[in-house]
Amino acid sequence: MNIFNKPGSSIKGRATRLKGAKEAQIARLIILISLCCFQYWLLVTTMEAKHSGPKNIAIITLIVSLLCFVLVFGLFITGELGIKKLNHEMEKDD
Amino acid sequence: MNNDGNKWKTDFPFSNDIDDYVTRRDFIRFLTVVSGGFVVGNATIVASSLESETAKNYSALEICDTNALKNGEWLVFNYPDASTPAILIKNEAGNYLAFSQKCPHLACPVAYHRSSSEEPEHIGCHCHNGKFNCDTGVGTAGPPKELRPLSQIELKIVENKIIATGFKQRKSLNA
Repeated sequence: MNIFNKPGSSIKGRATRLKGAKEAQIARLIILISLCCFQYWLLVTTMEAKHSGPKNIAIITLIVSLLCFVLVFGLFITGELGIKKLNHEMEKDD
Repeated sequence: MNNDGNKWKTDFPFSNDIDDYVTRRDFIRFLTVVSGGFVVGNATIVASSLESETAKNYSALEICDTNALKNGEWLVFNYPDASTPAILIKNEAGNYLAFSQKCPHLACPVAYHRSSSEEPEHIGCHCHNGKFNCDTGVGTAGPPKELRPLSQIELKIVENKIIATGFKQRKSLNA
């Protein structure tokens, strides 16, 4: 198969897809870093609450932290699947 | 064809700075593990706070003799269990006071400070320069000012022995 005649599988198309994948990965990374910073803040807040503050917020922070982890894990899985899909498409084009 | 993806490294043993770079993908994997670690940490804190809520019955503990401390001196003892540090203070007025040694901010150990030319006697936390009122344990400066006071231990003096009998009820934050 001549990949240069197929739309989306040309050298230019491949470069565009790779660039898009890279940008998506960077966006994912920025969101992940933000979520981790938020989780760190939650952890410190929970510790302060345990020692001195209203203890009932500890459960709430745990739930929110768990939701953040679900988001992080979701982003990680979509990233991994995206890379696999991209590799698969590239191999198919070749 | 050789399936070993690292064969080229043995064929061309040249190192490059870029070999040590962490890829975005690896960094995302690392952050996922970190995120999981935060959840585990949070869960551990919740579990330990639930455990301490259930252990409300404190036994009496003999700390020391009344003549063991002079005015403006203090000592560290463990209460209510062997791993929880607390401080016994004989303030400059001669009254005995005892508090948990854990700062309500981030659990650093607090220490008693006698009055000086600059400030009156107080309990201080070295980590973030927090200060507490020596008589009540209420935060007067630094991060503890916004938080609950130090847990105060009830004391009883029986036949020249100072005995810890439990914790005083703290006022709520909103009170």
